[in-house]
Amino acid sequence: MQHLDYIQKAIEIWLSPNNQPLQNAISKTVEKGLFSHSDVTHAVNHLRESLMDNQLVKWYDSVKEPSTCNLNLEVLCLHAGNLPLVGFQDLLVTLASGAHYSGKLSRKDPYLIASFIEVLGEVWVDAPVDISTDIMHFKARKFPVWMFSGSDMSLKVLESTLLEHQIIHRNANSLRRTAHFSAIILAKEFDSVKNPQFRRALPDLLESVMRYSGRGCRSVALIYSDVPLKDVRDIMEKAAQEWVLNNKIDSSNAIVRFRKAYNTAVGIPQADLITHLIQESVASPDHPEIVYWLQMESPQDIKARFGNALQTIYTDDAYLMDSLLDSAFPMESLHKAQKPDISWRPDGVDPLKWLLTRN
Amino acid sequence: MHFKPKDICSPNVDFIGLRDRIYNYQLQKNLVYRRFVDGLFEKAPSEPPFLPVEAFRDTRVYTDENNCPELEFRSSGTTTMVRSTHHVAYKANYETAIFAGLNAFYPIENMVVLGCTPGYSENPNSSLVWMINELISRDKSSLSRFLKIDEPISDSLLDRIASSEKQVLLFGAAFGLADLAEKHPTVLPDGSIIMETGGMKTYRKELSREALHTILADGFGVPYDQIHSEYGMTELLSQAYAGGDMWFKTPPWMKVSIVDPFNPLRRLSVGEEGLIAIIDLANWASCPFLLTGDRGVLRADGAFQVLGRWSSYHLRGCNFLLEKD
Repeated sequence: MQHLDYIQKAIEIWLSPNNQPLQNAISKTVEKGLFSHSDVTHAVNHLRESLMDNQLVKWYDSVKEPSTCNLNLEVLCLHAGNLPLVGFQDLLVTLASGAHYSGKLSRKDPYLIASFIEVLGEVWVDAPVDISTDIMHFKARKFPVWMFSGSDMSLKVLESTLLEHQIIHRNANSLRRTAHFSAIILAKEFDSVKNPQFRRALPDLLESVMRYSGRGCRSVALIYSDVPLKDVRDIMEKAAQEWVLNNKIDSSNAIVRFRKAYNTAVGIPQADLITHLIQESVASPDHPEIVYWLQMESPQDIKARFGNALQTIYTDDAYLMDSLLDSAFPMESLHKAQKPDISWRPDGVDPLKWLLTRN
Repeated sequence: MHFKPKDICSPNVDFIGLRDRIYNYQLQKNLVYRRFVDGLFEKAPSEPPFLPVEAFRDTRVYTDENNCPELEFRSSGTTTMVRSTHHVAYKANYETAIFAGLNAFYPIENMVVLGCTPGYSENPNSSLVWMINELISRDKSSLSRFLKIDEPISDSLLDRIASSEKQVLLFGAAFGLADLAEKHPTVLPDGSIIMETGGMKTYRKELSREALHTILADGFGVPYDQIHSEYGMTELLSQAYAGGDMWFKTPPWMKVSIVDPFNPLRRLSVGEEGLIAIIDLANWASCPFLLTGDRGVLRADGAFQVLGRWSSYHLRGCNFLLEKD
């Protein structure tokens, strides 16, 4: 498949060290204060790792069916701007499926994907791509397929606007991803004094909570453990201080300060991670900065309680993960929380497979 | 009693003066509130910060430790759900807030109160049922009553109310009223007012407030603008009321502000959407400065609209927003 060769080639060039379009995009993104340097470099470095060894081609081969190449399909991808390169997977699957990619880039992340498109255009002169930060650029196009990540609340308004301006076809197919957060089940502790298992998991746990300011559905809102929060609070707070220092993150946050005062007032145990707060209380996932520390529950019960709002349950317990490998809701390793495989499934749906089965 | 009900629940209350006195009292007597303010500020600010209403779920919010509470209300919820508890120091506080509050907007002495509260019987500590019961027991005509579940309003009762020349105030939770309107439609006497107290989500199908009001107007044969709403909660002793226009108005001892959900210490301007924060001076013995989980918007005259619960999940995750992205 020649188009896959083009895409793979463009990825390699774009992600090569010192690629000028990418470096310029990173600089502009950071200079304009859209995202922190630490988050942007994390996202780019992660893409580099996840796309190594022809991972995109391998993914395509694993899901393709005979003669499933949607050469004439026009796909509109609406990219949210809450974390850098958040819709890059949608771009790749659209192009890999053979469809035409039209990307509504976020005004909060306008440079990074555009820099890839620039490189792609040099490798693949007539690449079927079209990008804009203005939704009206796509007016009257009547897209038969569109992809979106967001909440049910914003979806209704969005869909009526898209229909009103004939941006999408009345009978358009859509892939709507509405999961909001993820959870961790920590491995059981066999040494309740030293908590060695927890100490090993701590760096990955902090990444899963604090990376991208806790935004994105792969970020963790719920931590299930058999250890009381007070037992691990001090080492967690110390490690968080180092994390904030190493990642040069702005530490001021009004909601953390407010909730911390409230928790202190009513006696809710908490760990102050500077940019985030972990609290041992009734779980009501809301602000990305607030994370809940909860009594151990089974993955099935967690899924039943939070339903479609839940993206993924991670664990550092290899035995538990293996036992659920073939279940309806498999778990992922904790270290992959902010480093997912390129073929990860938002809302449990493989987007490449989904696109390849559109007509 | 530190503050007398008649001094608080009065049309001529000096709101700011009394608020400041109660604020000082709260800082001295309410340990939970004091710790909350101390956690936010080095020195207590001149305007009281709003304590999240979940405090009534997470701890005991009570200032008058020398006296046992005379009433105890609990929020509704499933058996597994942690429910809020409001310890009310003095029954007279709640009675006065109810009657003076209603009197500010309705001629309650000349009304027959019909209560429609199915489901609330499962919660004997419901503040709504207590309130309606008080209204019923105050009516000397003995026409006021709780309606029987799954039964129509009898013609003989309607005839007697019509002869009494009193107005009907049909009070109840949204789902109960909608069920009654759809299963046993009737025509209430002229001038009747239907007062729904919310709870649209617990109905068998989710309804907007507008759709609910249409069902009620059709089912009870009253004009749409006679369908009113009450805004209250277990944690508050006072209530706000809205006529047909959905703008809630508060009695003089209750004021609403809208605050930034991302920084609840920042008050938003008129017209901006945010979290509803309430000062209810009748709550002086628990906590009168409360931040709710409801979304709302304020008008220049202090009236407010309730736009539903603040949907907590949508702040997390990837969210494509047309106006921002």
